[in-house]
Amino acid sequence: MKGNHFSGTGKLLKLYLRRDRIILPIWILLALIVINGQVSFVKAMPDWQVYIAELSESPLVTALLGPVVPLNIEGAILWRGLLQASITVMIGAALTMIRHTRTEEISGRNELILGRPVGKYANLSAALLLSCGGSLLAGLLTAVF
Amino acid sequence: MMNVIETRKLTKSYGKYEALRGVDLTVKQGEVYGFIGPNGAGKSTTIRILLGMLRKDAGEAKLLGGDPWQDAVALHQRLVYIPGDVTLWPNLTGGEVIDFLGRLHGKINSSRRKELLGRFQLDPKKKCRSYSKGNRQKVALVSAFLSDAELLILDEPTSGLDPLMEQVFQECIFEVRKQGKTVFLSSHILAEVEVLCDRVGIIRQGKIVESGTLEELRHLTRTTVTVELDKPTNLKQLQGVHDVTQKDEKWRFSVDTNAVDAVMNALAPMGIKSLIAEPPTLEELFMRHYGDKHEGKELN
Repeated sequence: MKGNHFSGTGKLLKLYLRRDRIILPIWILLALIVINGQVSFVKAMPDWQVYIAELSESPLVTALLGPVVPLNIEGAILWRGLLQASITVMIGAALTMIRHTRTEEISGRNELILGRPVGKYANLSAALLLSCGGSLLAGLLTAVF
Repeated sequence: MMNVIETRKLTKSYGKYEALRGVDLTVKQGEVYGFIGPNGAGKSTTIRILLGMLRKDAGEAKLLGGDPWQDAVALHQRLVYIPGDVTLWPNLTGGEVIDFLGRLHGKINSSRRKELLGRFQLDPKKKCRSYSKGNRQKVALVSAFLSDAELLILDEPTSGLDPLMEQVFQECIFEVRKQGKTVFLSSHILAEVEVLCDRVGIIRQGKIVESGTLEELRHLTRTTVTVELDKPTNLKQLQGVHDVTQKDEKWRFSVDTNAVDAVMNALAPMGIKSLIAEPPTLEELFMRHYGDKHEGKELN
């Protein structure tokens, strides 16, 4: 009778959602806020085209951000905001992952769960689902916006 | 009767350090087994192997008839475990934690939950970050006694509990035993083990040095006798008598169990005024294994 390695994943995911009920929305919305900031920043400039052209002449900026595609105001906003927004999502996802794996191990809280009928990979997959789900949600929200 | 826990020559090392050096354990169904030893003797390591959290290096380990590593999920359905150091999620309430842990096992008996919360006097609406050590322990205990698992593995469950709650805990253990469940109780509070346990195993430096019922273990050690004698005499010459001290007419000494008869015969003609014989406490048994300097040297 080999136990299922993933059993209990759903219940753990529910627990993690409950634990992260404050921090999760924050890092998901952070990307949105960053993009929003760029929108008002670029739109507030009457001569944004001049500014973008000047900026993209620097090889360092081009190396970091690439060309402005498409070449209009939306493109310019994305060009400036995409990297920042994705970094916030990346950091959020990574911290969420650590929060539910390594931190639990150090504090010894995972022992409480390990002695229960929970599969070996349940904790890992629940944490992964949570951070991937959060990232996807952040992406979707930004796209819709 | 079935053996709930069985290990043979179980070994485990962390790098060069040998945590377990051949642990032989047998816990029968329906008994309360006391697993005692000081810090660092290998108690928690043994429990972690039995729970499939650690992989054994060599030897055999069987839990409820299955392999603790391979069948962990199926076996954990039938047991409940309390870690020695209970830490909880700071932003959840005690009640939420109890419910979550209960749901992992299946349905929660809400009337039983209420009863246990009342008995342990635990407020389930408080956030876990505000709980003291004892209260965190109570959360774990409530969740353990709430489940109807057939085996309870408790790693120093009463650390941090006040004497009143310890009483409640002991009552709960007696109830659990009445229901035919098995309890594996790791502890270094000897008084508690003495009250609760049917059988005891003493672990030292990764090896079981003594195991059996308390009576069997007592048999191996000496009885302490305090006696008041009429006639002057020298008890030091008697065979099987140790640690003799004298104060006026009062003598105090310890006697090997197999020499009790001979010593009593020798005392009888001396005119005994009063006599008190104390069976060895678990503490004395324990100290005999740990206080022995010679063995300590050998192991270092």
